[in-house]
Amino acid sequence: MKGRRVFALCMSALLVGTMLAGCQKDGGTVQEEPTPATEEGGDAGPEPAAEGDKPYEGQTLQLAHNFLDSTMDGFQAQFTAFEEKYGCKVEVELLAENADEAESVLLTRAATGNLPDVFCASSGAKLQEFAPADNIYDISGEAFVERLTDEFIGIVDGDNGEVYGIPLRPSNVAGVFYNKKVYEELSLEIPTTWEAFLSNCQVIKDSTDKDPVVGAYDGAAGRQILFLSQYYYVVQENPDFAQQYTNKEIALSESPAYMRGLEKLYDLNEKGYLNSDPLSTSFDDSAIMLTEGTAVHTFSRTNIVGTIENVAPDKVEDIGFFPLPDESSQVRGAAIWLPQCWCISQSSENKELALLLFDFLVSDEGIAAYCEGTNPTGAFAVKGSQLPDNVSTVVKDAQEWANQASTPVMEYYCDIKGSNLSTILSMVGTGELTPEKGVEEIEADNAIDAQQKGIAGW
Amino acid sequence: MKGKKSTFDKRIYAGWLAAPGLLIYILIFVIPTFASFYFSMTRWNLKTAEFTGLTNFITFFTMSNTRAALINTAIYAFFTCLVKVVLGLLLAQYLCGQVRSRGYLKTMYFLPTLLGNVAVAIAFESILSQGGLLNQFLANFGVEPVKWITGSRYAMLSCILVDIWKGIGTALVIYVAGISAIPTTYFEAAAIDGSTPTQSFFKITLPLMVPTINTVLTLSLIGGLRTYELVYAMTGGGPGYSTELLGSVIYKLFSRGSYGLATAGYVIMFVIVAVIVFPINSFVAKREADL
Repeated sequence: MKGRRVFALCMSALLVGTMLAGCQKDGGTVQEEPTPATEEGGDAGPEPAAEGDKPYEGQTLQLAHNFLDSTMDGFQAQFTAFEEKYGCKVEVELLAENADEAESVLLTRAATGNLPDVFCASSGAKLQEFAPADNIYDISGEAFVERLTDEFIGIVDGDNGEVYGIPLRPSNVAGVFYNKKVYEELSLEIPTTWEAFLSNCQVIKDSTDKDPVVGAYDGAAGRQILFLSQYYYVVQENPDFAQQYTNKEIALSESPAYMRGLEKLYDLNEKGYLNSDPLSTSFDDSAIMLTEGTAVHTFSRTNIVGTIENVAPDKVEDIGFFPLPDESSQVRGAAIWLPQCWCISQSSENKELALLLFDFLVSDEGIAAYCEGTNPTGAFAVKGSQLPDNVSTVVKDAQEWANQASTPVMEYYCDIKGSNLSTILSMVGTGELTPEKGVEEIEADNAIDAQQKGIAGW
Repeated sequence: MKGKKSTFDKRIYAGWLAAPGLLIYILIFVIPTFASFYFSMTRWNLKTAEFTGLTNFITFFTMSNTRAALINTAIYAFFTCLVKVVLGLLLAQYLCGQVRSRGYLKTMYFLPTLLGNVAVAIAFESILSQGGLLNQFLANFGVEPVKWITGSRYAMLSCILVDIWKGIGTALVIYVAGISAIPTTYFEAAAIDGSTPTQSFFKITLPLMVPTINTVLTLSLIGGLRTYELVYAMTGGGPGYSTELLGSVIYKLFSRGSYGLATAGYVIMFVIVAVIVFPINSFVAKREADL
């Protein structure tokens, strides 16, 4: 009898044990699955001449990111160069392209202690969601941190001088991208006010069958760019807007500049300047329409140039940039997205190798490798780094604006953003909501997010 | 005395056999269920949970898209369920008759069920978009392009139809199994008495199929109330909130990091499903006919 009981106990333990082991193994395989590109890079590397030169031979660094556009080519070139130099291996895991989703996955892993050695994170206010003090390794003492620009360190630092990340790609400049050829044909001038912009659109609408503006409202990013780039003018009006809003001292609707962002979005649809089905137009579609000249303007970030270089490399020079115009021709400027960051997980057992990778990524060699993989879409947040000569004119122009008159968008300073912002903006952008009604919805949606985050005063 | 002990031992022994299953059940069902009730009443960031009482439930209902989502979910669940139950039965009856290509047809109807939701969504997104295949086809007859999924007028309808296309195979398979289980003697006896096929359907097939109908009804209703991935992948809940479902509201909250509020949403969905499905289920079960 006793024997049977023991047997039954053993069997049950075995069953449960197998199941749990099964779960764990499943999780592990996904993480360890190398992308074909990595493998290719590893194979392509030359055989090491002397074992002693490469002390990291055989070691593997796990890394996760969610950049599936041309940025990925830049990363891959960097990792391949790093692998060749040190003989180690960088295993890349691709996360969902949607930033919120990817971050959710990483946060869950952080909570269960399963972060990869190196992972991507949003810089700025949103970095706090990772509880960096608990999850991210502090790199403030490292020599390579000296090379980062102060502006960048300002968005990845902790309260006591900790530094949590290095820039993972160049910054992005947001504004209006337009087809220069059409402008020449119709002898249009670059608009310096919103009024002038609208009258250009009217000319295009009246004299051609082209869409004056292509709205890429299929994706969350495309719906938000115009509106978020308006933040430059919000800051001109009230430099403390983000702080005051976080403390609930000011309502969004109280800022005329903020409201103008919604009004612009609404105008485009109301005056009939948009393409016919913006809700099913993707970011790639908009890049193609712009280069083909079937649409003349689009509100985007410089990463659109990376896409254009892929789909129509000979047409890149037909595309121009000007900042989102506002009320006065005297006050013009662009909004920028500072780079997201690479972080080292605090629980990583490969910190030494990870730090070596970081050192490489922000070195001239690492930046050069990135530029070989893809053309950078803006400045690197690394002191003294130059854009390579083969960068297109449009990126140089945009970067010029970024250097002279620009501000990072509001998200770097205020983490309050409701789950429905992109939907609400798409409703304003297609005329379903007026700007007044839209701002009410945004306020209510944001309030829920702020309450859920436990921000004081909400 | 000895006999008693031996029964006791036997019971323990049986208990040991049940232990692995019970343990797994408790681990992956009971504990998470009760944990989710707790976390739905907290402000939760996966590491720390601060108790906030019923605030999350109130917040969930004050969100502007919840109202739209509740109505949409009701419409979606009702129509997908209705069509699957009725059309599925008619199709099954047809395919159990003397149709030459019934094997082929059954496979064809069942095939979409095997496809992944996201794959179906992507395929239909390109078929139904404004410049898509359907509009190109309709243009041959002079029909102006219709915004099947990007206009609020037809978006919900399109999603419901795609869901039916994808899901009717399951209902069909269950129905075919049910009809095949009815002894043919009933039909033969009825035929001798001069019953028409229509009469046989209403007097024999339908009453004997009530348990099967109940199964299909329950499954497709629960499915319709809980699903969102097909619709979300196709429309993103848009345009506006016109195809927002309860599931997609919760999903968006999760991906935004509002875990407590999202869990509250799931508890609400759990209650709604239970409140709707159990009464319907017992109502239909009462109408079961004895063989």
